[in-house]
Amino acid sequence: MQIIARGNDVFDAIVVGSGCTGGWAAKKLTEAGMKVALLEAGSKVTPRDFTEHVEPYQLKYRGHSPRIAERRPIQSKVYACRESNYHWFVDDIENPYTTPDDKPFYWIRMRVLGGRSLSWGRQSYRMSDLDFKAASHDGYGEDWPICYADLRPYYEEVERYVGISGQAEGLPQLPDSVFLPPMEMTCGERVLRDAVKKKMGRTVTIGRVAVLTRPHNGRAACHYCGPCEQGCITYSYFASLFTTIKDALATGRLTLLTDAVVSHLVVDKATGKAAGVAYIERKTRAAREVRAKVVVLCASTLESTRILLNSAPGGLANSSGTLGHYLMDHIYRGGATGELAMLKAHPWYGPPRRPNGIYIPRFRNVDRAMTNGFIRGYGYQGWSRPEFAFDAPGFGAGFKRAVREKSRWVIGLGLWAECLARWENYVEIDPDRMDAWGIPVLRIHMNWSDNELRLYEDGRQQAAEMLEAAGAKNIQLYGDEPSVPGFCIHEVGTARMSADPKKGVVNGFCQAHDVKNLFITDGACWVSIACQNPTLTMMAITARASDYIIDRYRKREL
Amino acid sequence: MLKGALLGFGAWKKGVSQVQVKGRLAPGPGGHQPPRPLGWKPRLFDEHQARTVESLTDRIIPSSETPGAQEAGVAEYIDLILNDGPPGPRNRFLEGLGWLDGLALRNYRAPFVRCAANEQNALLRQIQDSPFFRQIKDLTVQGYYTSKAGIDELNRDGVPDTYACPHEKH
Repeated sequence: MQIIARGNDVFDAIVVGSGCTGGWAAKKLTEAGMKVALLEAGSKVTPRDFTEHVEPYQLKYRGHSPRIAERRPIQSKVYACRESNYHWFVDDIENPYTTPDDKPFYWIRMRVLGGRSLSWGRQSYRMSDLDFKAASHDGYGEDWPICYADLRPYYEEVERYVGISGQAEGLPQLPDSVFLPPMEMTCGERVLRDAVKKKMGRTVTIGRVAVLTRPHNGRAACHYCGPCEQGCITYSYFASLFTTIKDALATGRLTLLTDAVVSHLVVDKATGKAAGVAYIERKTRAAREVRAKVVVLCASTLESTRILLNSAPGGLANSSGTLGHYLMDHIYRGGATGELAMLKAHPWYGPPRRPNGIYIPRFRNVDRAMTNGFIRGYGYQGWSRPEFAFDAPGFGAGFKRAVREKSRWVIGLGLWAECLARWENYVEIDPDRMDAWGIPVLRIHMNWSDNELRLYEDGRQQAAEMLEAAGAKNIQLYGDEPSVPGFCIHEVGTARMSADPKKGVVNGFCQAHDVKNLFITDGACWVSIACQNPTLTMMAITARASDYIIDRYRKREL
Repeated sequence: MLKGALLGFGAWKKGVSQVQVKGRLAPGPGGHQPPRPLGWKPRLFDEHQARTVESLTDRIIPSSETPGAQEAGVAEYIDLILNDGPPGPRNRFLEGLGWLDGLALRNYRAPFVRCAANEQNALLRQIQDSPFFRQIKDLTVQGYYTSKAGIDELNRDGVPDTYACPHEKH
């Protein structure tokens, strides 16, 4: 029997997780006057830990460290897990999970103050009612209990604070944000944009990205150094630790508990309400508890669900039986590349490097339910830039010259496709495994359905057709095998919203149907995944849930 | 242990036994002058291997108006990466070095590092489709173009993208 050290403070609220969603919950609740404890499983970082300006030759292994994969065989697969920042990513040996042999899943996690917001891709797109009411559109699955109009003011609130650069396009399926000035397209990207619009009627727009193109809310405009995933001393991209968490700390009402690995919720047996959370101190392995009147889970989709599954036999707040089910991720890593021979390439190594690409909004099944046997759609992220010919054949002076002189303008489009919410894609507690802190781990069951694979194939073919329209040569499809589920790091679902307590874990305000002072506002609450990058919507959902919490807490209804 | 792996490699041993008496093995073409100091301390390679890798990398990326791979310290980088990396690539590389010396001894009665420049180039042309060539070329490209010298070479006639398209159309 472990002796559990219990703090005397009872907070108004506990927020578990310090990433994009946890940061928003902490900011909103503290600014409304609530005393909040924010728990983060990883350690503090400061701008001194940022390495975005380090040149490859200043690193021991020039960015190719063989050490990363030794303890991070999964995390090291991600481009953002680098020689200079890999300690932000979890140690896979200390943090195991299991899968059936025939269903690999890559679970990418960061345990550090700021969570995955420190190294995220920053692409930021609104969803529309084509997404929130997708079931009504094509008959598959469930609608969300909220609609675009519910979320729209919160998109605006989040965007005004975060700063999203982008170009308004007026598309109903991809509503415009409140934008900072857009970044510029390269020559090759303009060639594609103009040709695809003229010949196919499709829109190519600059990526909408949480990177500042002018000074905003006390943060500097981006100076295009490039590797955002290694940090940003000018705070030009959005990460929670130097924005929302900073604001929350400034209220004097935030207690920050880092290196606090939450194992489960503490439930008041008399009322059935959440009384607090139990956590293990990461470094000392001491078991501790912290108490509060409201608990908000923002630990990331699968960590939040894992905490709930570990909080009661069969899972806490699971009278619906849906907890753990309907796991989704985007299928990607496929598309097409080509060369734009009409442009003369003079590639350059180093800054300026625009931290953004181009985006092609969904065009499939916008006005109809089904195309070529698939429902839903996909969007593309793309790029065009001059590239060195490192793959030139041979050796010697001729090779050295060819690296520069055989350089060419390369263009590529990669698809991000919607994944259907299916009961069969689920997580459970593995009864046989625990992590380094003695917390039972997840067993993850996920694979792609035929619909995802059809979207993926169609997306590759359409990518090639659009490159052809742009006059590209040497067009090649890439990604014969799609991404392993999870690897897009857009995992959502497993504690979904529903107005019907029998069909979901939380209501439209992210409030657990069974435990009224418990909220799950991260990606776990998602009903369907759409095809857009999810973080902007996660932040808007959290901001909305936070307003609801503040209101109900004041009315003593939680 | 790793040096043992090299000595155990068949091509090397065979080559040595065939030519060691009348070949250029012992004193080298430079006569009796002491060898140029290596200038860095290998972790994995012995001195012969280190000099061989220096020659190889410099054949792949020679000096021109800008420094080549040897001056850019690429051999030292390869030594580090292989030493600290997994055993598979490390052992394949060391075996490949021995195999190449075996070829050199057979063709020119000297290990690679003591072959003349045109002989070294002929040897590399001969092995261009081999897994070993692919490995040493990849490592050389990686090491060179992440060095200060290599980045300067890349940017000799490059143009930083201003992301403001200068063309009138599009």
